[in-house]
This record gives sequence, C-alpha cells and structure tokens, in this order.
Amino acid sequence: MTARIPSEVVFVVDDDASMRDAISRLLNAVGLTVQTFASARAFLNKRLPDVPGCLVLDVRLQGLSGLDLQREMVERGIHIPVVFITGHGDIRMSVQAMKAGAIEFLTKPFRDQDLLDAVRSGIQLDRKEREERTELAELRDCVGQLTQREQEVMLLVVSGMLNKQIALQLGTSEKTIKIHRSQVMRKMRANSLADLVRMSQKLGTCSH
Amino acid sequence: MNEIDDTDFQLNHSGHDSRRTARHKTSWRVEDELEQRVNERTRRLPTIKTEMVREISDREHSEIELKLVKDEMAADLKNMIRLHELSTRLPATTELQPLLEEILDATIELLHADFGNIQLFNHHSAALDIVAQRGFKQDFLDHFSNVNEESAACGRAMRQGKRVIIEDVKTDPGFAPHRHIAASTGFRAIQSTPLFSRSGEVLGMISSHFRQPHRPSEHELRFIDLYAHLAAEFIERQRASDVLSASENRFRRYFELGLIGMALTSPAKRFLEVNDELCRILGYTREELLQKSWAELTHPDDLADDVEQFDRVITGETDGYTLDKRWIRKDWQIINSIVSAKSVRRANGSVDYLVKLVQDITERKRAEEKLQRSEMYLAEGQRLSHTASWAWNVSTGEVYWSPELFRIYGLDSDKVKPGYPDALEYVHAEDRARAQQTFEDAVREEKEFELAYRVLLPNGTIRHVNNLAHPVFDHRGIVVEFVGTTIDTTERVQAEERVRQAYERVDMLLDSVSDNFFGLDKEGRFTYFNEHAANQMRVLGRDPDALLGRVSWEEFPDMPNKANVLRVLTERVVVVDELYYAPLDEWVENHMYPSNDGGLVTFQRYITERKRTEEELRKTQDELAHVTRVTALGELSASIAHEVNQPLGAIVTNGQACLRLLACKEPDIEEVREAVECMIADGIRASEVLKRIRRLLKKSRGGKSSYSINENIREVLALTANELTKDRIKVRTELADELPYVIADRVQIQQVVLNLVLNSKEAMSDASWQTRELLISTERAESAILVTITDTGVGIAPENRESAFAPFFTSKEEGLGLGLSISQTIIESHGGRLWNKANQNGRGTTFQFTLPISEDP
Repeated sequence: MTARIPSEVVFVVDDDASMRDAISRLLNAVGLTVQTFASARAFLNKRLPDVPGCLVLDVRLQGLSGLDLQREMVERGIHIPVVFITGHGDIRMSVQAMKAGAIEFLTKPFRDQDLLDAVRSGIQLDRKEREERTELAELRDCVGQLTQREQEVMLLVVSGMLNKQIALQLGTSEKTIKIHRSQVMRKMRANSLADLVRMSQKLGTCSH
Repeated sequence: MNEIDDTDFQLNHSGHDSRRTARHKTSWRVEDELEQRVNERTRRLPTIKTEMVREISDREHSEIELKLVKDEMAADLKNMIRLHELSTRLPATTELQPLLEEILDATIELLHADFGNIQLFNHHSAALDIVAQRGFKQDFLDHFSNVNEESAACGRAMRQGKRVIIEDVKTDPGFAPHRHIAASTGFRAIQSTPLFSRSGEVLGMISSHFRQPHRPSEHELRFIDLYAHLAAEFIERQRASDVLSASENRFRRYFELGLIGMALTSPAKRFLEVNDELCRILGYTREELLQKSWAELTHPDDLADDVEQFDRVITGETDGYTLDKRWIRKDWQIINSIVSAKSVRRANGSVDYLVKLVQDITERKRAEEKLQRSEMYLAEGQRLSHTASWAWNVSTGEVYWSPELFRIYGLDSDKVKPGYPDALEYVHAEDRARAQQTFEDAVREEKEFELAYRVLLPNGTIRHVNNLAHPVFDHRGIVVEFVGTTIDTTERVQAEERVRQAYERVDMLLDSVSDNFFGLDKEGRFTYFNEHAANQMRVLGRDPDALLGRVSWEEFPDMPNKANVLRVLTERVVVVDELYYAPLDEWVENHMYPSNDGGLVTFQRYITERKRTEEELRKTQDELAHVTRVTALGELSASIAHEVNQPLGAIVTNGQACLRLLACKEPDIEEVREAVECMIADGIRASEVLKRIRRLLKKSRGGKSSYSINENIREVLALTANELTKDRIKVRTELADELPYVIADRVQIQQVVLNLVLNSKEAMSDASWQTRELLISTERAESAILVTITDTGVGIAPENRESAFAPFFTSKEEGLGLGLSISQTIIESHGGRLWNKANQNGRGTTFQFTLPISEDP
C-alpha cells in the first residue's frame, strides 16, 4: 500500500469473504486498485477517494441489500457506476438493477473478462461523468459572474435574436446591448456565438 | 399458788402416795421446795433462838440442836441442788443408764444407805431386772436377778403398787426366803420405791439397803419420791423414743427393702419421697420423679378414677383407697399396678401427706392373660379337635361310646345303645365292607389299626372320621377289647377338598389365559407351567414335567433375560421386558412379578405380530418424515443453490485470477499460491454444503447417537442462513456451553429444528413485516435439554394453537401441513415433548421441545 492517490479505484462490496478476496485478487492482477467492504453499511460509512471508480456490488447482502445500497447512493448523490454480481440472479432483479442505472449484472461464476470489461467501462463512464460535472461547474461559475441584465441578454442572444431586436424587447439602446453582449462573451470565455450556444445548451439540460 | 400449796401438802403428808403428783411440774417444784424448806427453816430459826435464850442454861444442848438443824438444812440444800441439776439435765439426756446410775448414787447418799439398786420391769418375764446396783455381790445379783414374787421388798412394792419399807429383814415374815442373802450381803433394812409411768404402771424400782435396821424419815422419802419420779419420767421418755425410732426404722426398712414401690405424696399429687422400687417400676430416677406428680404418669384412662378417690381422701371422706391402675413408664411401656394410698393427717384433720404403695402387677397380669389364653386355647382345641373315644369288647360285642362320639355320629345317647356289628350300619354303605374287614382283621391279628371312613348321619349329612385303636390284652395275653379314638375329620377333609378345588380352579384359570405362565422359586427353579407354557416347552423339545424343580437358566442357557429374572428375584420388583427368542423365532413380552414364596411368576405373551406392525408403522413414519424433509429442502433449494454457488463463484474467480497472474512476465507466485489455497478451501466448503444436504435427504435408519443438540442447530442455521438473510431475518443464538449430550436420531432432530426454523421464517416473511428476529436457545432443564425457538412473526391464532400440530394443518400455500405433526411424532418418540406458546409481548410464537439427556457424558 502506498500513500500515493491511485488514478482510479474499484470498490467491492460482498459479504462472502472468499468471493470478496477472489475478486480483489483478479482486479489486482490487472493492475486495478481495489477497496473491499463486507457490508453496504461499511461502504456508506467510508470516505471515498475523489478519483474515477466503479462499484462491484453483491445483490444479496446481510442487512442492507445491494439494491438498497444502489437506491441509497442515488439519494445521497453518490455517482459511482455499479456492476452487480449475484449468486443466482433472476430477471426481475436484474431489470430493477439496470433500471436504477447499473452498468452490468453478472451471475456468479462469471467470466473474468466480463467483469474486467464492466469494471473498465464503469471507470470510463465515471471519468467522463466527472469531466462533464467539472465543465458544468466551470460554466456555472461563469454564469454566476454575469449580472441579471447580462444573463437576460445571453438568453436572448443564444435564442438567435439580433441586437436590435434584443434592445427593443428590453427597452434599451442597441449600443447598450452590444456592451452587454461583449461582457457576456468575455465572462463566459466564449470564443464565438456558436460556442456560447453550446454552453447554454449544456447549462440548460442540467438546469431543467 | 394454791396448786403449789396442794402439792406441798401432798409432799408433806401423803408419804408414799406421792406418785400421784403432777410430774410435769418437777423442775419448778424442786426449786419451790427448796425455797419452801429454806423459808420454813428460816422461820424456825427465831424460835430456836428464843429457846436458846430461854434455856440459856442448857447452851450446849442448844448449840447441838442448832448444828443439827444447820446440818439438816445443808444436806437438804445439797440434795435439792443435786435434784435440780438432774432434772435440768433430763431433757438433754439421751442415755438412760448413766442417768439411772446417777439417781442411784443420789438416793444412796440421800438415805445414807449402804447398798442400793434400780430395777426395770421386763415385760417379757413380767419381772424386775437389776439394771444398776451399788455394793452387792454376785450372789445377791443372781438371787434377785429376776424378781416378781411377793416376798422381796421390790417384788412386794411392784405388786402392791406402792413403796415398801422393811425395817428389819429378820423380823419381817414375808422376807424369810431371802434372809440368807440379806445375811450374806449384810443388810437388815430395805426400802423399795416403785417408778410409775404416767399411766400408773410400774416401770421399775429404786431400792436402798441398810446394814442396820432402819426406817428412812418421811423427809428423806419425799426426796426419794422425787428421784423416782425423775427416773420414771426419763425411762418413759426413753421408751417412747425407742418405740418411735423403732417404728420409723421399720418403716424406713420397709420403704427401702424394695418389695413394693412406695412413695410419700403431697396433697398436690407430687412425689415427696420415693423408694428405689418405685423408680424401677416407673423407669424414672428419683430426682426425675420428685419433679413430677403421680397424675402426669398415670395412664389417662385410669386418671379420673384415681383422682376421684384421691379427692375423697383430701375432703376427709375416706382415709385411703386401693385401686388397680396403669402407669406410663418413661419408656412408654404401660405398667399395671395395684395402688394403695393412706393419708397421714395433721392435727386439724387436713392431709399432711399420703403414703402410697405401688405393686407392679404387669408381669402377673401378663401371666394371667397368658394362662387365660392357654386355657382358652386348650378349651378351643378340645372343642375343635372333635376327638371322641370308644371301647369295644371283642367277646361280648359290647361297645362304649364317649358323648363326643354320639355327637359325631349325630345320635342321641339316651335313645341309642350301640353295639358291634350294629354300629357298622352308621358307616357309609360304600365304606362299610372295608370297615368291617379292617375290624375283623384287627381282631384276628390282634393288632392296632387305623381306619378312615364316612359316617352317614340320620339327617343325611356325611361326616369323615378317622379311627385309631389298639387291642387290650388280659393277663393270659388274650385280647379282651379294643380301645380307640375317633376324630371327626370332616372339616379337614372338606378343607383339603376346597384347597384341591382351588388349585384346580387356578390351573383352569391359568390354562385359560392365552399367555404362557411360568412359576419360578427363589432359586430360579421351575415350579409351575400352565398349559400354554407346557406346550411351549414341548415345542422346544422339552418335557415340562421333567423341567419342574430344575433351574431355569441352567436348563435354558440361551435365556436372553436372565438378568431381569435375577432382578425380580433379588430386588422384588415388577419387571417387564421384550425380547426376541431365536429358538422360537418369536418376539415375546414378559411380565414378571415377585411371588409370595420369594420366587416369581411370569406372564409371557407373543408379540411378534405387534412388533411387525410397530416396525411397519415406524417405516411409514420414516418415509413420511423423509418426504417432509425433501419438501423442506425444496423450499430451501434457492438458498442451497446460493450456498453452493458462492464457493464455486469464488473458485472460478480465483482460477481466473491465477491465470492472469501467471500470464505476467514476472508472475507473483505467492499471490498465486494464496489464490489456490482459497480455491481449495472453497471447494471443501461447497462439498460441506452438499454433505449437509445429503444428510438431510438420507433416510433415517432410526440409529440414535449421543451428541450435543447445539450441533443440530448450527447445521440447520448453516443450511438456512441464506434463506433467512434473503428475508432480512436477524438470527440470534444463545446456545449453552458444555450442554449434556442428548441421545437421539441426529437426522430426525435436525429435521425438527429445520421445520421449526422454516416455520418461523415463514411467519416473518410478509413483506410489510418490520421486526424480523429469530432467537434459538438451548439450556438444561433438569434431566432434559430444552430448545427454544422464538420468532417475531405473525404468531399462531389461539384457536389454531392445538391444531397446529395436527397432520395436514397448514397456513402456507405450498406446505404439506405435516411439518409440526412429524416433528411432534419425532420428539415424542425420543421421550421428549414439543409445544408452542404465544410470546409475552404478543408478537410472534415460541416453539419449545425437550429431549432426555443421554446418560453417557
């Protein structure tokens, strides 16, 4: 164990110790960092490293079950892709899990490649989501710097209205709109109108 | 003062009659006398002096006179003092003899006598014995050793009851027979003064003898009387005290002799004094008895009577009483006694104490009872023996019958005159010829005979008699008659007949039962077979009659239950056993009871058929149990699959990890080794699960073993853990450590536990159910193990609590409804009990069962 923060982590929650160890060993063998937990509660109580990761979760657990944990994570805003494993999965259970956002549902014994693929895609997904969340956060920071009027101007700009039309709608001069518009472009660090539109769209999907 | 004057008068004038004076006044009278005399003389002094003056010329004569008076006065004074001393010493004196000696000396001195003696009246010889004497020689003593005749002075005085003075023995005609003694002794005059008792009897005599003819002066005699009086009083007092002490001694001797129990008892019924014999009779020590009253030792049934009589004594109605009463000895034995009580009263008539005589008649009573009994027995025996006697004169045919024989024959002795051969007609017709033959043979052979026959009584009843007779020969050696006894044996014969019938009935009874019946004596020898048992012996190729009296286990060495037979014989207990007896190819059940003769009786029954049925029933039950086990397993199949799949999954994953590790350029061999070790462990784990399942699916062979019930519970929880987890049931166990083992069929008990756990799970499976807890505990409860399974489920409706155990009762959709029914059957067949109850808090159910503890550790 090193103090170095790993670039990515796989969490394993299974109440069967030998299964837990076997998965851990397999993932280690391909160079993945693994953290194991014997129960859902233990996982929830642990402060997790802020790096891309994936959760390998046994469906049937003593106490809080795998599906319960998945639900709990959503409620708590914990965004980690989940790979379910189960001794004997049935359709109903797998559908429920997938609906709730699981990326894979594996039945023990599973092919190692299947697990590794699922875990890797999970990590990939997490990394991507993390980047998006970062970008969005930056955009929101920028929007935060806009004045009320600048925000109104920006909304009208990205909806395709001309400066003149905007000035008319807002009851002000075209020159004033021009100044607002340049402030928006600068504060939003937009290179072009198209760029601003894309940003607006990104913010919009998230704010809705 | 008048009285004193009278006394004085008597003293002065009554002379020898002074014996009538009041003696009790002696002491003060002597002083008085002294004073009187002194006064008198003192009064006379002036007269003498006047005479002296008047007869101045005759001075010499006067002086002599004066001297005489003075001497006389001095002598009187001396005598008086002496008398006074004696009288004051009297009360303190206990010895008679020294006092008498002293009185004798005083009288001799007083009278200036030369000899003297004191005699005492001897009641036996009615004569006077000399007890003290002065100056006599042996011949005098021998002569007067025993005086009662008139001739001697003392004898005369005794007879006449008054003083006798013989002034000169030579002139006294009455004294003639004794003159030679007087002469040889050397006395001429005698005075004899009797000693009178208070009642006037002569107690003795004081005599004084003088060498010269002499008569004592009246004055001197008065002194003698005083001494006589003193002596008499002392003698009398001494006698009285002798009598008293003799009587006391007699009483004491009697008291202590121990011939009879004696006690002095108080009016409060307490013992004041008891003798050893009473202590012995009542069994208490003297000290214990003195702490008690006779009432508390009296038999309660006799107390009222005794107290009633006692009260009559206390009230003065009677002086004493005698009664038969019983006492309770200290050792609780009952003592029969005759008690005599006599009261001793005080002067005022109240009872001072009672003298009680207690005679222990327990032995006598016992002997009396024994005698009465033996007399009664004898009389009874005579009556019961019905023995009559008879004589038969052979030559005349004359016959004598005792009254009892008439009675036996039912004939009136006044109306019938028996004779031979007429007497034969009373003999029962069937026995008559034989009787006649016996009589005639006996006559011909001249020998004694015994003959039993029946007698037909006139009233038609039949009596059995037995005759014993012997010939009587005359001096020529010819038989004159036969003398015999006839005993009525009817009752005996009838009793024998009854016994025989009773035996027949018992035989019939025992033959009629379908069981084999054997009797064995205390040595184990065959004493009886009923018909079935005899047949069994024949089947075994043995002769039942030949087996009687033979030791059973020696005759049948393969007897499988010898230990039980010995147990009945030695411990005298009833034993029931079941065993397979190979030679008969039968299962038998033996009920063995100890019999009164120290042996035993056995009722034996063939139970092969029953055994077969039981075996079939057991098989059916096993099948059913198996089916329910399979069903239960079916319910668990998902869990079981999970249980197996889990290790398999781990194995596969580990295997794949290994491959990947090995594929590296520098494989981490240590990691690979660890992975393989995990794979092996998981493989074993998977196979364990399968073993458990196989054990549960196995058909029970009914084999019991000794093990801890906790093993069953752990195994069942291992099988169901997954299932319980799935339903989010929290499992808690409180399994007692070091629990004694149970002896049970492991598979069957496992099934029971499984059933109960699944039932509990089912009860908590409703989706809306919040609290899901299963508690399993084991503990020791006296001679059993108690297993408790508590859930927090829906519970069993009170109306279903009983029927829950009925076959095919179920609340489940897929249940067979046999789980509890089979469980109960299993537990009960192990000698345990299974029951259920609602939980205290009203939520859920508790099932409990017990199993007996194995005797093996």
